[in-house]
Amino acid sequence: MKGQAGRPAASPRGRRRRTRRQIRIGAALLVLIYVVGLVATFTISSESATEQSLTERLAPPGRDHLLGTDQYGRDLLARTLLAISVDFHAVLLAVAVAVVIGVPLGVLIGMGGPWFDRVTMRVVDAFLSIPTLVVVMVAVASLGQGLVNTALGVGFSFSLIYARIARTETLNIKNEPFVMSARQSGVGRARLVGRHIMPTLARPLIVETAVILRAGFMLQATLSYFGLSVQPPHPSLGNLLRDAQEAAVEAPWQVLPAGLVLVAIILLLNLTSDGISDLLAVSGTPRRLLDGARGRLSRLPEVSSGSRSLVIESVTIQVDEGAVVRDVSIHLERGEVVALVGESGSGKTMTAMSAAGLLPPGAEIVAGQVQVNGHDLVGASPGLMRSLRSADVGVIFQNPISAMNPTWRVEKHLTFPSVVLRGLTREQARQRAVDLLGEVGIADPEGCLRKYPHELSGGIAQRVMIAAALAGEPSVIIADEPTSALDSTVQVRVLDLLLGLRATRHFSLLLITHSMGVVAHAADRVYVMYSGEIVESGAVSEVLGHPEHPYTQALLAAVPQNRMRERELKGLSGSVPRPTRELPGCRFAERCPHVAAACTAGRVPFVERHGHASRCLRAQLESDVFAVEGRRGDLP
Amino acid sequence: MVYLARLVIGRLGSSLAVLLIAATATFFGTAFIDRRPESYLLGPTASPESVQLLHEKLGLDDPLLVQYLRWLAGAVQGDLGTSWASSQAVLDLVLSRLPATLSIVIGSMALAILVGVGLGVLAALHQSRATDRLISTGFTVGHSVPEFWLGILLVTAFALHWSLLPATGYVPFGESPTEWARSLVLPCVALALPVAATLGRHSRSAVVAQLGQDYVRWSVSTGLGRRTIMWGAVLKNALTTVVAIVALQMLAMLSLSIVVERVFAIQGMGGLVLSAALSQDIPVLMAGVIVYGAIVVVTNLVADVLQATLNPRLGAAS
Ligand code: SF4
Repeated sequence: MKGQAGRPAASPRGRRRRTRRQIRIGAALLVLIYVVGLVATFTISSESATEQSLTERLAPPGRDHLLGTDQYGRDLLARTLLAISVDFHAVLLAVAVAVVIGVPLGVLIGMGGPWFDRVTMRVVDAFLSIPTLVVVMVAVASLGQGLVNTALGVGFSFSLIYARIARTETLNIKNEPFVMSARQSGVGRARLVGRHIMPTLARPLIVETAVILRAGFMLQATLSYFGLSVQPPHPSLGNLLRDAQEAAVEAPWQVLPAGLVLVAIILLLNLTSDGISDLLAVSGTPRRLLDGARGRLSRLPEVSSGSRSLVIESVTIQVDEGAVVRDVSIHLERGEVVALVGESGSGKTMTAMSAAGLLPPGAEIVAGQVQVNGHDLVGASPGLMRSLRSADVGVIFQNPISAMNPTWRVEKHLTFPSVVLRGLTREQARQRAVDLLGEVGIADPEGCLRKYPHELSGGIAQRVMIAAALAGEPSVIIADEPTSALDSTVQVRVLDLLLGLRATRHFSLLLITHSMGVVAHAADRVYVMYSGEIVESGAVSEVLGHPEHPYTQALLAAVPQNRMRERELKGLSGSVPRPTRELPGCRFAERCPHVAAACTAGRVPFVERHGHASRCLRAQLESDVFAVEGRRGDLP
Repeated sequence: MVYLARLVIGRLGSSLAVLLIAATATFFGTAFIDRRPESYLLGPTASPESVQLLHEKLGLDDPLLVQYLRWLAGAVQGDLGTSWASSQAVLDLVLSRLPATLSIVIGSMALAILVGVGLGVLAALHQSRATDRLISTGFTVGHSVPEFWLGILLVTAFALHWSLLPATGYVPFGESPTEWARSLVLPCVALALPVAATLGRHSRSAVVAQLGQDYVRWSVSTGLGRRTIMWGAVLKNALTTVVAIVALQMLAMLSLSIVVERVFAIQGMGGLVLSAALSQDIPVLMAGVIVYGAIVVVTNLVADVLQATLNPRLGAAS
């Protein structure tokens, strides 16, 4: 289990800071290149870069000419420096044209009616499926050559991209409630566009502009390489490259200066635009789920396992920010159904998943023991973990359809692991799959095998996933909210199916739920979790009948008694303190109606009497007949 | 299979519409230019009578709409008109140039997919480790190298300096298959590299996105190993996204191919369109728009079918 996290992921904030720096540096260097180009236009006379001198043809780099001269005897350094600002201006002109045409066009299409929208977008899309350079060629045919004409052509073809984005955003914003109400209250279209639409448009347009600038430099260089844009003898990066290609046999180095300047500009634009889109993307740290599946299957060593199939002993689980599961102990007797109940964020799923070695990346067991059928999981080799998952532990997830592979038929979900892990032939695996589907109550197993996940209802999909979990004949099944995502009518049936299977197959079931109704219906014993700790445990009849902890009492009060109805636990004011927060005493104190000074003074012990245990000072003192008389005055 | 056929037929209509719209826009977008093919066909000393005759032959004195409809009637029957610059049939011109362009484009795309997708998947497998960082940096750099500069560098090094491969020109397959292959190597490498870099970046993130999906966690929970999950489950899912990206990159690749054809002096569609633009040879220009558009449209169609086959959920949605 250790090392499952791999290298700790960089904190999101640190990453953002680095991304911002990347954008700043990229943009600053671009400006620097441009300024160098500008300075060059004011200091180097254009004659020195265009005047031919046949005596100095193809001079190698040296004192007089730092980069040498080209085949017409012109100084290469001067030409390269002068080319920079020419290309910048051509690209900026093209982008300006694109924005000026494209953005208003897009807003216009978006503001117009649906019919207008469909017709114009058809045309825009048709243009966008023709390669940009071909569109520019058409523009060149009608406008003619030269820097300004080609920039107009490039600008026109880019304007369609802007139009498309502006139109989409306008349509989105138009239907926002605040814009709708502004329209109804008679705000004019012009003001609507200026006040609401333009500001929201800015963001996506800026992202796109970074990408378009890159394409612009590529196109500008291409067009002048073709001799369509900047006309010789005036220098531009594309012209320089064409000259260099002509002279490549005699002076191959000439290819480098202009090419490297171009690569530098485009590289910097790429870094900047990548940075901008990273910054605006809302992706979290990548989930490295596969890290848990390393290692080779290994034979499980013989161990004596006793009567308990799962033991979680004093386990503490830590993530970057701190502990999320604190000193938790849980066990499952063979054939027992045990519920782990709590609100979301209580650490119940984390606790349960530690028993399958499925902790999310970054979470790690730092103290305690986990044993499945006597096998130690903490510090176990990845291979042993895999073997346990394939044979001893089955997991059922909350959302069956998203847990299924969209490109696999039902059949493959049931047969693939059996063929790969258990060496069954495909026919054997298929036969077993049919049997299993029958066992989980699917009427037409053969038909079901051929279906894809998206063709299943939630209830059927969860039955399939239960069958898949049974394929390895596990002795422990961990079910993470197995019915919460299902229709309420199906919930009871799926739960009863699990209970029935438990009776015939004798596995023990760890049922993670937030519903006391589910606990009452299905479980033998229950653990109540709050903010990373177990606060109460015992037989279901005991805990539900005589709840000791005020939190359990509140949970029960929030649910209509003896009814199978899932309901968020909202009976309490306030919210669960984050498990990672260090608190001196009782973690429930902030919300407890009975809180007293002693409660926050130090850690509250977990005290058991007759198999019913809780972590509450008040409950412990009240139950202790002798102490009650003497110390009642301290208590609420 | 039925839904695939329905998909293809459904898309075919809108694809033809795209081509028609693009050609029409080209026709009317260039309507205001001065149409004087005589300067190419007859030379500067042509007599007014012969100019008159030529205009009549090409129908240039008719109203624009009539000209357009005449073109459309011909196009429907597979006749794309006559070039104003060479008085050859446009279709013959196109057919003589298309093989070279298709060879380069298909060859480069195959190479780009092989290198780009391969490295992208490799990087995703080693996410945030040294291999990944190396490959991703390579992508960023490769993404920033203009293809024609790369082409010039390649020619300078491999053709002019070491004389390993031909510097320019295209040899038809029918003439000599080996020379055909040799003439394609450098242009294909120059064209494939930037596209491979882009494909690689996107393939990497497509795989990384899959790795975070719930079904991966389920697969892990069954005890399956990392490699099995990767090859048996994740890649097929990521492939759907990759196919879409490849189709998108076709558009960029066609633009680049025009440049690469020029760098290597290959007589392909790119040169045809370029000279048509310079000589304002509208019939050829329109044919160019249609041919390039058709390549894009066909690519998209193939991509749609592939996606629907790979991922039945997408097939059901369309
Ligand atoms: S220990 Fe105190 S604060 Fe905590 S639950 Fe019991 S009475 Fe409430």
